[in-house]
Amino acid sequence: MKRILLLVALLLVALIVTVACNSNGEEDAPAAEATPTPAPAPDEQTQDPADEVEPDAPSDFDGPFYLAPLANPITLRLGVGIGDPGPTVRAGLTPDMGAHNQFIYERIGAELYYMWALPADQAGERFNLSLATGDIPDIMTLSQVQFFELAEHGQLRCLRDAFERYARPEIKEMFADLDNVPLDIATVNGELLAIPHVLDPAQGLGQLWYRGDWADALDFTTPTTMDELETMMQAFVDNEMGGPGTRGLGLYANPVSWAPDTRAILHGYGSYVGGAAGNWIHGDGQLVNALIQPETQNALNRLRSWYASGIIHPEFATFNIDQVQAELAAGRVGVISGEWWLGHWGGVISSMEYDPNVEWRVTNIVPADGAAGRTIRAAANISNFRVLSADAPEGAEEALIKMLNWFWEIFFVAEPFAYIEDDFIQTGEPGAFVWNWWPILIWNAYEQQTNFDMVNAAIQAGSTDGLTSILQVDLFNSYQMLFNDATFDDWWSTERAWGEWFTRVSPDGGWGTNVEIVRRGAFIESAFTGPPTETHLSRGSVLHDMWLEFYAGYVMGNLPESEWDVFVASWLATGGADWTAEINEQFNRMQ
Amino acid sequence: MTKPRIRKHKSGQLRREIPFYLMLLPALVLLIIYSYLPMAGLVMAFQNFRPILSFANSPFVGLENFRFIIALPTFQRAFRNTAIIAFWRIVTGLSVPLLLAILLNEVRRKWFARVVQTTIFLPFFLSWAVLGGVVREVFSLGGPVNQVIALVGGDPIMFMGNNNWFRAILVSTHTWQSMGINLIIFLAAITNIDVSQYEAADIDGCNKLKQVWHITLPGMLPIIILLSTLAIGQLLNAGFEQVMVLYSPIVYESGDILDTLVYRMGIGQQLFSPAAAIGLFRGLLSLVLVGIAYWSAYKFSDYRIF
Repeated sequence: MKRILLLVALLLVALIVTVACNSNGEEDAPAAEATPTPAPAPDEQTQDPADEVEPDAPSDFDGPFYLAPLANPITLRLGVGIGDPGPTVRAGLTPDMGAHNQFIYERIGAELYYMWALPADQAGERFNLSLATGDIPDIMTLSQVQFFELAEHGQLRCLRDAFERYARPEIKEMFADLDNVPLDIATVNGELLAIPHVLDPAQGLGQLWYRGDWADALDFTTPTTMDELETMMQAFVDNEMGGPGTRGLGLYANPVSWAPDTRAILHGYGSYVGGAAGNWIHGDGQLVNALIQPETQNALNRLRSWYASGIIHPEFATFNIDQVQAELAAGRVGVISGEWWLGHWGGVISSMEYDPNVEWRVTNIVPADGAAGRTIRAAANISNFRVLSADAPEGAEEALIKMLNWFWEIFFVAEPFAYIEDDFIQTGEPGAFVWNWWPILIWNAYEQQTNFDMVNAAIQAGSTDGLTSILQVDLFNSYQMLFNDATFDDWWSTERAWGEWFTRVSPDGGWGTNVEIVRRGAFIESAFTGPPTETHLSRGSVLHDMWLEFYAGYVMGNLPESEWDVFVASWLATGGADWTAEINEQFNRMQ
Repeated sequence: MTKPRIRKHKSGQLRREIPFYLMLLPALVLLIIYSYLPMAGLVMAFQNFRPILSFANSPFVGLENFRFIIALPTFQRAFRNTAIIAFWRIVTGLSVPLLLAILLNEVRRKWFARVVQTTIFLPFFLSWAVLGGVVREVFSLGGPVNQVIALVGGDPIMFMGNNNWFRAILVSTHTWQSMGINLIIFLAAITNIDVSQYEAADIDGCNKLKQVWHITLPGMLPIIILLSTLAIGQLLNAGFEQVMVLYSPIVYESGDILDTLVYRMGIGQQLFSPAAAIGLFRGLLSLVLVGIAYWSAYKFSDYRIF
């Protein structure tokens, strides 16, 4: 009997251990072994003699204060979603094995302890579980909804002092250039509770991409009005430019996703639905939702007529994004709508690989009424929030800010490859450096514009002197390969090189078109950026479903035009009216 | 004298059964950990659950979440769709393999019957993540089904974007994918029928149809009743994975089911409490249906699990 009891006890212990091991990967996390050694100073060329030395920094550190290690080393807990590390990194390499851990340990004095490292699509659920159990990481990247949720319940640490004291001047300047709007949004009850990860507001401007080779073959110039666009797309279809089944406009079931979407058509009618900036605009003395305005119906009526005439694929509303990409790749789509980077998007690149004669061009919004076509620009384009848990150890604020400073140093300031070659192994061996595994990174919101300006200047000068990032050198080399027959070992394919160069550098390309849109002021500013309201949280998914369903049925002609009024009334009654009132209340409070 | 003997017998039986209980124990513990303990999370259906506040501190709102979901037009529609799709999945999922089993039983070339049986069973091993693409392609406007329709002079049908057709696609493709398993059960039932009955019927001049009607079907009746009654428990299972890969907003009207609605609300918008309320509502109804199913199975075909 004793043996049986022993066996039962052993089984239970084994099960509990199994379950505990499965519940988190803490046992696998690297353990602290030694106090970090004093960090060496960064390269000479990164130092600014005028920089003050932070009093707290170790006395033997002679670099700029914002890169100095912590006076007292700390351990920070984090959980990460593993993004695609790129093809050069060996399969099986995970963030806790990356070279950045050692770098941060030595240079900043922060040891990273991984609570979990999961594929990105599972990380959200794991984070929610973490929230529910109250065992939250010290440093986190949050969505807008998560940020305001945690802020409301006092779970976040104020970063104001650390930001003002330690943030490097370039980061402060970037926010100042954005009128500090992102920092204001991250300030709750007077406390700065996050460093927002911001993008240039111009990143979300709407554009129209079209097949230049088809336009040339049919003697079309760049369309400047909606009517011209329609004529061109209809000609693409009628002449079967991509073979049987050619469509003028590539769309799928979601009209307001990141790509390819309907924004170029909607914006052409003055309907500013969706996207980073969309939805709330000024109207009748208050903010109104762009979705239910008459301009949206006008745009939908145009799309409806294009569907009827075969410009849009008859089954577009059943397509997922992979299917519309497949249509693009097969060279059966003449026009797509979206943002500046579409030229190096998978479907577009594949279409060029499929047929070397394919040529994509880009233009700005074409108006429906003869006036200048205008797109919309966000007041602040925040992708997520970098935060600290209220329970993080002392000194964590400084560590977080210095991780941001160092990321900036490596990618936006240092000579290209300086740290990468000196400090990291980039060959895919264990310990390799993977940029998007840096635990808390910040992007230069104006990186796109900087790259555009600097690479174009370098091309003019015919030299890489003065270029300050790896990407800039890659873009310069792409140009040399495409137009000066230069060859490079292990380089991007011609299509990929074209995509990167055309979207980021070419004055006629994606970012070049954005520059032109901004120069001409061919955009309106979004009227509101703020936290989600109660109705948005409770009814948002229902309202979104209503819109998707109505959009598909209306454009396909399954619903009569009179259904528009029914849709608007239903949208308002299902929560849209309350949502609008809440947004106006918030807006008035913030003025 | 009798009583000690009985006790001794029970004690001996228990001792003999201990190894079996021990073998059962790990499964039981896992069942408790992964199936029963998580049920505590159902409490969020009665809370305004905020992950940051955890279960312990999220405010209780009584039946508010249930009122909220019942008032949603999308919930009512999803409930209706779930019931309709699940009902037809059960009807065709039983009747088609039954018919096939009877037909295969009459095939005299056994190698042919085996090839057909294996071919029918194959899709059962493929997931809907794979089959979804195949089904989309087969039923697309340029797909083989529409090509056949065009050959016979018909107009093309947008199966995947038409609310009149979408449920039929779901039901028929589910039947095609899963009928292999029921086919094997029905064929096994047929082999249990006494062959002498067919010989007697032959002598009495019964044709094949009458043999099926008077011998095969009555002989299979217990297993037909059993599978049918057990299927009642599946009346709210309309096949999340299949619908998820095949539906789109244009067919929400006919194809959005409770599971996909929960997915969009819970995962997409993080409306944990209303999503949990829908899950609990569905779970309770399923519990009642399963209860009815097992009671019926016991009543009509003497099937019992305890």
